[in-house]
Amino acid sequence: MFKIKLENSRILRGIIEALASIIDETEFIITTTELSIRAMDPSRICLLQLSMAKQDFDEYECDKDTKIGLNLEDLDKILKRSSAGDSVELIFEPDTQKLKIKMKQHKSTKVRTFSLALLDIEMEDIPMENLLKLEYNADWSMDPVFFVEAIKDAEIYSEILTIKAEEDKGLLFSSVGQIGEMEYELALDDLLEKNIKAISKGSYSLQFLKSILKIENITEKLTISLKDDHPLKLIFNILEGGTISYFLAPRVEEIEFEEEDLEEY
Amino acid sequence: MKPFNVDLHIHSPHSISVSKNLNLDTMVETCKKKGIDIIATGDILQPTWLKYMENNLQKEKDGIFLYKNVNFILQTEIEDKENIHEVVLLPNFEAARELQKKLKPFSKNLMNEWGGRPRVNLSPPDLVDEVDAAGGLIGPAHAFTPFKAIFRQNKYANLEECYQDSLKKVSFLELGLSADTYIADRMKGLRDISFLSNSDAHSEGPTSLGREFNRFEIEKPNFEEIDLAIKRQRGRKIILNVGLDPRLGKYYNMFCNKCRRRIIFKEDKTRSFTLLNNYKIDANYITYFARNPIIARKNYQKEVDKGKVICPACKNELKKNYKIKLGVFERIEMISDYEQPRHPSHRPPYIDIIPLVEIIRKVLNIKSSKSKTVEKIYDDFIDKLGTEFSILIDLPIKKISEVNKEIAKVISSFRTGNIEILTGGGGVFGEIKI
Repeated sequence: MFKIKLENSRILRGIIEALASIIDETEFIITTTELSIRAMDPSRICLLQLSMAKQDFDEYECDKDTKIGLNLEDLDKILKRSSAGDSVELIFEPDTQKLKIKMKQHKSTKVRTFSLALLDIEMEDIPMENLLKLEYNADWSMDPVFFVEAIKDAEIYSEILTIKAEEDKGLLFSSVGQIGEMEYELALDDLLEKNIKAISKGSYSLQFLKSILKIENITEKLTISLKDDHPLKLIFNILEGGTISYFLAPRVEEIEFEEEDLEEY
Repeated sequence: MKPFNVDLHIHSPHSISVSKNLNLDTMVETCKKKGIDIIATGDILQPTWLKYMENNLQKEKDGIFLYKNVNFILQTEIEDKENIHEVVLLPNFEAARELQKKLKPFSKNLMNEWGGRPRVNLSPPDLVDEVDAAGGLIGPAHAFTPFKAIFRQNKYANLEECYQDSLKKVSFLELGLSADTYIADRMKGLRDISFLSNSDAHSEGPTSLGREFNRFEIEKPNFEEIDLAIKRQRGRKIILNVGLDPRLGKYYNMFCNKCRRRIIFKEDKTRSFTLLNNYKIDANYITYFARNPIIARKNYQKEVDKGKVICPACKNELKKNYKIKLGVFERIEMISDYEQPRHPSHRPPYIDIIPLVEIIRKVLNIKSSKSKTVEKIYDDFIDKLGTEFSILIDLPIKKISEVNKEIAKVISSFRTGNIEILTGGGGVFGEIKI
């Protein structure tokens, strides 16, 4: 069994809302030390990993490692019923095969309890370690607000955002469409931390970036890593020791390959 | 015993999306050009079509049906309760009327104007029993296609499960345009059944009618002999299956069920990791570039088989989740027993062909295969060299070169298996690359 509690439901609500916009169902792994999720989105473009340490919760009880499958859309609907300042508690007792979600208002006796049936999910084995070991040519931290702004600007023109990082110039976000194009520049000074070793460029789906950035209002810090022809890595820090990492596959727009030379499989 | 080229599955204008010009005269015209000796009537249970056939086919002795020197076999396709299409062959008009009468209570559209391919509310074993009782032959149609087929995704993986105790009355399996013997003989459970390669034609034109056929070795062009050959009895047999290269079939490749884009994998040696492939979305394809495209494709199709993969293009464009479906190529990967085909000794050779009209169209770089120029050159070929089948299969390349060198070169390439093909899928036929 496990029982975990956050005094303020906002963080958990924000996390689940962001995850539910990318994956519909997943397995939550609760150990004696952390709560984690590792999942591939069903269109196989985006991989994500959530990890929240025991210390990030106001209460954390877990007697043995547990895996539970949940429908995130349903969990999201339930958590959206919580009001500002509500505490939220997730309770699982194996014999019930249901997750109990308890919401309680501060200084009030009102308690609301929801239950959610578990799903039997066959999870794919995702060897994420290989991705986590990848070395990138450009890493930086930034205020997520800038990124959200660039995404909204780019949406006017196309479905794709191109990101370019240059060691002496900073960042360039751009988007090209039939009606015109946009460029959004950030100097190195606008970045919080930076380690740009070489010019790096990639194009990514705006739809996914929008879903990923839903986490923006509860995050403390966003770190991005970029390399040509590699998945974009985005790491959001949550609370003291929590992170959500995303890997987003690059979308090839122009024909960069000699089609004739490539065999089809 | 003589060889006969036989196409045992077509439709009439009483089925949805069939050419209005399909009739006995146009069918016979194409049969003669292609070299088909025996053709199915199609839709024989539909009342108007049945009457049309009955009034026009000459009834010869020994149960032979003839129209302008082309032989006919009474045939229909039926959709059963489990949405599986079955090809049905019948010995005569009495049997057709008897079956029509028996199936009528189980069907809402059998007697309708558009009931060419009727839906009958009977389970596969019950339908098999009814056809057998009427003296007919039955077998699953286009067995591997993603729609309305016995081996489609989330349906059966073997014949036994589907037909149960009635399996012994199932006489054949139709391969369908996107499959051939090399694909089907990867399944252990199919070793005893005869394969048919039929056109499932929806039009009288040469790209449709007879685009697949079987060569039977029989005494006479009648139902009885066809029956014996399918069952490999009294020396009668199918000696050759000929069909579209499966890669050209419109259900060969994985595809999105909504936008119908095909999913393909290509090699990109520059990549150092295997997860999250670079991808490209265009009008017809979603292309993934992977270091090892074969492994990447296999992993991907496993997830598609579980019904877990959605289309990235629809997610982007429509903001909705639509699932990717397996094509014939991937479905066989999921349900086959062998990596390579193991042909039983009775299995005839299979020849992959490309319709002559398609070759001409491609060589001339013309968009439509119905263009007058293509038609003219096709007719010219037939006039000078004989039937399409003899041109594609038997005639020496040197002889074809005398009429057109370019076309002869393409025929030579596919005869030797050296033709490059852009695979079909999602309802779109593949294309040859020249």
